[in-house]
Amino acid sequence: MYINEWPPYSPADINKKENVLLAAKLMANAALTTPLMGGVDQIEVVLVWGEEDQERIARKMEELAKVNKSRRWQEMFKTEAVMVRESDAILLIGNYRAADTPLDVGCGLCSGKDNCDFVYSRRKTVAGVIDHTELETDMLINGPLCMCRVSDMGEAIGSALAVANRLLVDARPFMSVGLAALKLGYFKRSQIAVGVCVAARQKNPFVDVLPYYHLFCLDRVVDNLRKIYAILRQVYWYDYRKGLEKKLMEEDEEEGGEE
Amino acid sequence: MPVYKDEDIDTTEELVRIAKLCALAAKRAPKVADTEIKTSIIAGDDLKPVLELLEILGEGSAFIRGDAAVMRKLMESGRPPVVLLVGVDASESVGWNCGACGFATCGEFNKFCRENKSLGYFAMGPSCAWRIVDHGLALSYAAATCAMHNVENRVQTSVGASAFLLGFVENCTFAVAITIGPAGAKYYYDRTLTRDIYTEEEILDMLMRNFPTSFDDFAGSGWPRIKHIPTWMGDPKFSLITKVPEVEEKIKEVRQKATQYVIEYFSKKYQQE
Repeated sequence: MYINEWPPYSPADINKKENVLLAAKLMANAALTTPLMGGVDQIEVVLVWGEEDQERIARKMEELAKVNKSRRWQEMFKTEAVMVRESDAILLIGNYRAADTPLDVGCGLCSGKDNCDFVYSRRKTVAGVIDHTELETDMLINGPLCMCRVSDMGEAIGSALAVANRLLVDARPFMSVGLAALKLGYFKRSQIAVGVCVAARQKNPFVDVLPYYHLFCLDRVVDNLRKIYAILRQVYWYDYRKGLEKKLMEEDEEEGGEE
Repeated sequence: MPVYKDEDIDTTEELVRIAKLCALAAKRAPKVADTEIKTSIIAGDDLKPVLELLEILGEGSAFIRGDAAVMRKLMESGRPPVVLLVGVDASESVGWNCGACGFATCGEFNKFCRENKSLGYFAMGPSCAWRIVDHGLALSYAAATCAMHNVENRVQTSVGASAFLLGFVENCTFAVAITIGPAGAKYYYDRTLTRDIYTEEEILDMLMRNFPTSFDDFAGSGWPRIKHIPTWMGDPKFSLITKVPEVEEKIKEVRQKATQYVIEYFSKKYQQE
């Protein structure tokens, strides 16, 4: 089996991607076996890979970049969209209890009170039970959420990352990826999620990026090179059999190469 | 060459060494929102107030009662665990206006936070969801480091709550603990030390209250009988939705007692200083 990361999506790159997929699957297991408050099931995982799906998520992120006027937000979403395209697999980790089935211990995290009124009073309920079919929102995330559940989601992500760390694949968690996946409907139930990009490249694609990365990522630079190259080869038109410069032709004559 | 015996391998010093590695992992974990994680390691005599408060909280919760019983028995056996506390200040918003906290903008959250920042049962709120995500993530990274060293450990919200209420991490709104060690197994999962603290009657009672449908008879009457003994038909019991003042009272009493303990702990501490 020949493995090489270049060119992208060549058989050699796909061989590598399949390896990363194995790592991502093990990360999914770790997300599920993570220590959760009371051991209550609440984590769902979606494993996304392949050019088509990654492109769909990346484009959604570029769309979400525009919902906020802040430059920081826009740069973040556009840069992270590139990272999605450069990933080998994406692990989407969501919590399906945060919005409709809180932990119910009155811990204080959501509002600072020793009860769960803050969340319950902002949702539609039937006799105190939150109606999970009435969770529409115009917001990016459907709040308010049970912060204990959110905390558990964080732990699930940490477990997945710890496995990636041990398997020596690069992984980084992104709010933007989770948001795009939520809006695209990748999750059956979750109202909050984080996307963990996973990649095995000779340079970690998630760190050390250039400013305006969406314009100067390798993909765009190569694309521009291809564009320029086609033009440049036509600037100095010449017959390659006749040689480029007089001097070279003279050298050849001295050596008696060309009779 | 010295000889190291069994009693030398899980010394506080050694467990603290592992706790420090876990703390380093928590701080180093990749974060969603680059949140600062604060840690604190509690060992030796400093664990005593944490355990005492845990026991008070345990009076109102069967769940916490087990956690406290294990720690009490380990302390008394002279081989105490070490507690790594992982904390975060979740009251600082990230500035993403995502809505997860229930407010339309971070500005509204900040305003609500300024006016309402306070202590609930065992954590301060309100919280920014992304700070909480990062905290959980860092916590798991620390726990994974502990697992890599194959040391008995458990992530415990209850111990974290007790240590947090006693101020073992500064400038935090939420903290969770990882209890580490001692040598051996089945301290925190498949617990062998809690065997005598719950009676069988208590456990069966708990099961009937929580899974009443598992004990229901043919429910056609609308008032299903609860199968509590083999001859339940002749001596039926029923489940009823009702107020139970003594339980309500107990919860209030435990919280008051816990508050009292925290106040006394701090006044003693400041007097010493």
